[in-house]
Amino acid sequence: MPNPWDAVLANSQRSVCRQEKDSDAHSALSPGVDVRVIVVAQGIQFNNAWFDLHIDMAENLEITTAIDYLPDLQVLRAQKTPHGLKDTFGDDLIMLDDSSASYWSEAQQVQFYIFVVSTKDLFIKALETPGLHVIYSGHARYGQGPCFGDADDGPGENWGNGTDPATYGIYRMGFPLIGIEIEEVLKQKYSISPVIADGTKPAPSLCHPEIPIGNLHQWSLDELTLDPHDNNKHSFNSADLKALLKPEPAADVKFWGFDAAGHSGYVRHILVYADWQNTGDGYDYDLGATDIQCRVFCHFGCSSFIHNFPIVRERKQWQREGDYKFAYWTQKPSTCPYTTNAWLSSILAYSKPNNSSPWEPSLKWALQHTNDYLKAISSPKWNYACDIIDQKKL
Amino acid sequence: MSSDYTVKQGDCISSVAYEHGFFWETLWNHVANSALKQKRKDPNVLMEGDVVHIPDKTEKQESGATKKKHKFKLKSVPAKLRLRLLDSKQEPRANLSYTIKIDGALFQGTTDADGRIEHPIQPNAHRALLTIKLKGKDEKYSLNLGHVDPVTEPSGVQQRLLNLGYDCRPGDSLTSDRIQTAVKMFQKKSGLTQTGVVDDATRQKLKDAHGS
Repeated sequence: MPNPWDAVLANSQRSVCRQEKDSDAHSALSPGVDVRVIVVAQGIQFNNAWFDLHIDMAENLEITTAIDYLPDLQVLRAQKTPHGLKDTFGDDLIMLDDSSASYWSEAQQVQFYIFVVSTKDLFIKALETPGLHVIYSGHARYGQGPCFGDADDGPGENWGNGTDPATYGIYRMGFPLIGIEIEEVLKQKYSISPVIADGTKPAPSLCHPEIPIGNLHQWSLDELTLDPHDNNKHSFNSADLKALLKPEPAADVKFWGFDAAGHSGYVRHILVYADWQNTGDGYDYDLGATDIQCRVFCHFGCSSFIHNFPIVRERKQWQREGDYKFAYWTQKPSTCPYTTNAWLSSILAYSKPNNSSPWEPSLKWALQHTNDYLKAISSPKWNYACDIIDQKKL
Repeated sequence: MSSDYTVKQGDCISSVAYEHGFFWETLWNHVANSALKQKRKDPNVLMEGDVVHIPDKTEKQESGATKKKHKFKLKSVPAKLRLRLLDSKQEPRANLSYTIKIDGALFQGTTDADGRIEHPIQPNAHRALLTIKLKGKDEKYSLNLGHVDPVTEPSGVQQRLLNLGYDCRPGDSLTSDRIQTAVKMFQKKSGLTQTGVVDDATRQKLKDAHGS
């Protein structure tokens, strides 16, 4: 599948004249404007198709309901990328089609292109394209990695391995072992590979740092579905959970699990395999199989610093080299479409000459500007203050 | 037998002449090609679909004494690749080290004070890879030789703007936002009124600035 950004990058192909022996004509050759390509990879639920679907639903509600819904409709519209940037840049942001735009920064003397993609294969191609600025904008999936899907965010395999792993589902970028809430698995209905308990606790080096290794328990399927506050009461049906375990376990098997704070209070978790490399058939679309060559990578899902920073920077060894291989992470829950559009606005709004110059000053300014902006618009209802960070030493 | 040759992308009079066994002047100045010469003006800038008349070869007779050796020297027909490297302000990029691989043959050198590079090439050489050695990174250009279209064509405008450092893509129409923005910027730089419209004055300035 051709990348939408190929045509822009193809400008290094030039046409020149031959000259006859006595001619003094020539062909000019200039590096020209500094063209910077930003690829925004939108994850499941937070992609433009999902926003379009929900904007359409909101617009077609009964008039009285629509009035009630209007603020949210505006919120929905503002979160589309690159459309939401129009509020800041107006007609200077030229929409090339419904998923791409260009912007000429007179102050920076830089030509920006923004391309929005929403599939795993194009996300990987962006990561593997030298010189790109790649942003993942979507769910963190408990740290398993970026996750892609179509406009339908209903329960199903796209929240896990993907109906078509090349296109949808999780791009594995997390720790080998991760704890996931039982409630989440049953709500989203995707298959998981649980860690069978054999008496020996998993090595801490394999575990996500939030797994309380000291408090791991060996639980049967029935025990996993109990209410953590009342061992005589089931929160869920164990048969429903069993149907989602791959491979299907024997009846007497136990699994590692723990109780910890989750999305709806103190809840039960199950330990699952979520490795990011050599994960076998159907899992070639993970970090381990990707040759990252982009110049900037931003993960704007929730708490990506704790989830993915150690994997990308330390285990994958994709480390900063001079003015290359920048990476940015979030430290808190992130309303990622807002985070992404705020970051893009900052990148475009940088007001110093930047043509053919190192990227670090503009990125450093964008980091500060984005965090200030997100804090300023944050409210009790919407916590936008995700606090993007840069670990440049790594 | 004389024939008509239809120009393909990448052809110029030198390459067509070379491949048919003529000097470029013979074809360019042939009376049957006078309309083409009048239309295109520059033998190095033809358009795909142009027709070049290929005349019959004429026999040349030379006198010589018998029982003696006579030397007949084939007149060489080298063409040249002449580039002028400019920076983003269209100032010459002087004294830069480079390598250039032309149809497989590797050369190296340094740009002169005016940013120029010059190498003899076969008249039908097709590709070159230019690598400019900069501190910390290389700048690479893949060059398609003979592919510049006449400035009267939209593609010729786009190619020259791109070579002069303006942002446009192959296939952009003259009415596209990108080309119009680039044209306005070029017009401003050239002291023309910024209309975004590619008129005769803009074409001439474009040709002058590009050098061909």
